[in-house]
Amino acid sequence: MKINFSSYPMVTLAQPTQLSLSELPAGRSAQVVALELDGDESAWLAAFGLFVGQRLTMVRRALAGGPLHVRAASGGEFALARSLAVRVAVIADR
Amino acid sequence: MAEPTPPRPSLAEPAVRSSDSVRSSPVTPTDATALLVALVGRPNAGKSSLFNRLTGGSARVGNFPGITVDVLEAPLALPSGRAARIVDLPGVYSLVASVDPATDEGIAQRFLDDSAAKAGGAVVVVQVLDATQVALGLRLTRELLARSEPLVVVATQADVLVAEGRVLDAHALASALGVEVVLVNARSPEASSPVLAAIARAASAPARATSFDPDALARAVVRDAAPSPRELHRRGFTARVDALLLHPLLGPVLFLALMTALFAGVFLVTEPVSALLDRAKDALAAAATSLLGKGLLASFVADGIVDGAGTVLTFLPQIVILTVTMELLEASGYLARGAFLLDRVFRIAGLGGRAFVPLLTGHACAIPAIQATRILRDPMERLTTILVIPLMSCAARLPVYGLLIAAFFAGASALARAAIFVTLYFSGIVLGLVAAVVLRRSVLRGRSLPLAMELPAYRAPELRVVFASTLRGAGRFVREVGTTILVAALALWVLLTIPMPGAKADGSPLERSLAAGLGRALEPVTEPLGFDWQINVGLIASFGARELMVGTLGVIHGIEDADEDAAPLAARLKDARSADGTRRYGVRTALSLMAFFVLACQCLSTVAAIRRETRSWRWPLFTLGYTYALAWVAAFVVYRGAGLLGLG
Repeated sequence: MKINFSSYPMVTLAQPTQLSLSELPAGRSAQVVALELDGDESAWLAAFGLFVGQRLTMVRRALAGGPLHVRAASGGEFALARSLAVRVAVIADR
Repeated sequence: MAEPTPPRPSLAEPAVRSSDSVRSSPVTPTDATALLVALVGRPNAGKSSLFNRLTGGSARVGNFPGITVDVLEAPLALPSGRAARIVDLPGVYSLVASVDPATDEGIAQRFLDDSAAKAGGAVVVVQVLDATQVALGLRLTRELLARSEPLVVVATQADVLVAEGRVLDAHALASALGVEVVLVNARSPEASSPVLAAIARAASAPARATSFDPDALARAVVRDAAPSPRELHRRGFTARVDALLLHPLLGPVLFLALMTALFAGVFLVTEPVSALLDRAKDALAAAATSLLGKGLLASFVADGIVDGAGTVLTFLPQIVILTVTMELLEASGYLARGAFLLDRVFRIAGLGGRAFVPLLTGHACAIPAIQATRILRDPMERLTTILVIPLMSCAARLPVYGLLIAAFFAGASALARAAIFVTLYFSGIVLGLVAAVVLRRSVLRGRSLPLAMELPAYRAPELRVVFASTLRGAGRFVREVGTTILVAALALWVLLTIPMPGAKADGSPLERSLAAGLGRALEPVTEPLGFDWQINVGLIASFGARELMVGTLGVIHGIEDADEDAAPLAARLKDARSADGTRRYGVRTALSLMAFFVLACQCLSTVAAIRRETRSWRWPLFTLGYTYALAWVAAFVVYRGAGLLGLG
């Protein structure tokens, strides 16, 4: 079936965009909405303050695929490998 | 992970004993009648500060997540007069997330399980909770409440909380949890008595809540207010320092500069102190000789005992200064930043950023470094790190490097000689990382746990804690490494003194000794590397401890006090002639010997430490095997290569 895209009107997303924590730019804040981790990993990361509902700020991103420096709203900062961050879904603040 | 399971080592061995009232405990509690108080808490919660405060003694306070590697124990004076002991367990984030039992977290988990089983009801768990991170701490509280032991919650950092303009309602928290809650500043002397009283009360009246939501409870009991200007400044401080120290380009440069300065400083400061200790050793040996005459006993005391013990002491300054520096860096929070900076590079080698701490420590001495691998949560990474630590150029190799450079590169400029030194250091580091890559792709294949690590706020180290910890580190070095060096020195004295059965009567006593016989027997293996029997005797000596190489070569070449002043020995080595009048050792022999020394694990203490940490003979033997094979091949390549280049 051929769709003529131009016939659809431009839409503004009503839903805020969901992205992975690894994509969050430095300086931006976001809220964790889902974790794709096994039980042990979840328990381990929850202890650092990474759990669903937590608000996070991306402090800095190391070069060349290095770890991410994240601040948790509940207190404390931690370093997180990108391979873990891709499995953390967040909704970025506007 | 289908590959060979790494050995499941181990509860902590009693690594520290008998320093005043503080001693490290074998992990299983022993005395069933006394009350056992276990300090549990997240890393950096102020647990070790509280331990110091309660016991009057000192334990290590780390600002690097989970670096407390010893389980420290001390008697505790409760107001009720009941006999009690307190243990400072390694920091834990969670008791339910499963971990390798050999890591700090595993040690803490096992300790609690074992003590609960063995001591019956005579255990009180004291959770040290950082009052500035209540929600996170309460997650651990929830896990501890699910256990059967009576619990006391000690909320620390009361001073920081005040500065932040926040108020923790300890009464509300206590009634919500159903346990005693005490709010203190663990660094203040007033902290002890309310905590001790709460422990005494909790021991008799356990009562607890069933379930709660940590975040909701934290919101209910902590009242936020506007932070003081000082607090705003403090918060800004960590952010500003991080902006510099973790800068993508400047950060690594500053890190390298700091590490270079650290090592330069260690050498500059230790050189004169070591020389002084060496002179004291010689004076003692001379006194022994004049007291006991020239007989066998005098030789045993002067050359065996005094020399062996003295060798241990001359290495002490380096160990002490490196420990102090590491403690300061760790307590300040910088080591965690180093791990952050290095993580990407270390991933290539199949290691995580945190592995840099044990590898750095390995440049002073492999023994504490191997113990420091307990901060690594991933069993594969931990084992890999343990196996490559012996390739780092520890303090004991330096005299040998120094001797060979003095003997064969005396004509070179100071800069060229420094370059050789640096090359030797870096070849150890580079080959260590290469070995890690190879190990992670062969015998230690398997998925790594990705990095997840707290970055604590910078704070000023507590000096008395650093001091006490250094004292323990030095004590451990003297005990563990020192005993081995002493035993090796004594064994060497026997080998050099007792004649080989059936040796020809001509020649010096040394040439007829057991050591010479062994050295000659090894010649077929070492001939391709350019080593003759005299060098082999030195290698045999340094199998026990590398420190003994220079002194042994001195004995062989008839130089007294080669340890103190290597110049006469260097000249002797340079001018040594074979029977046919040709020069016995050339530059290529020196290069070959250096290559061998960089790589071979010539240290029985290291072998023992690997055995202890991995709880198997497999890995220490593997380390010996692979490092000696690597050393032989490298020495062979260097010797032949230098020959092809026309070096004498």
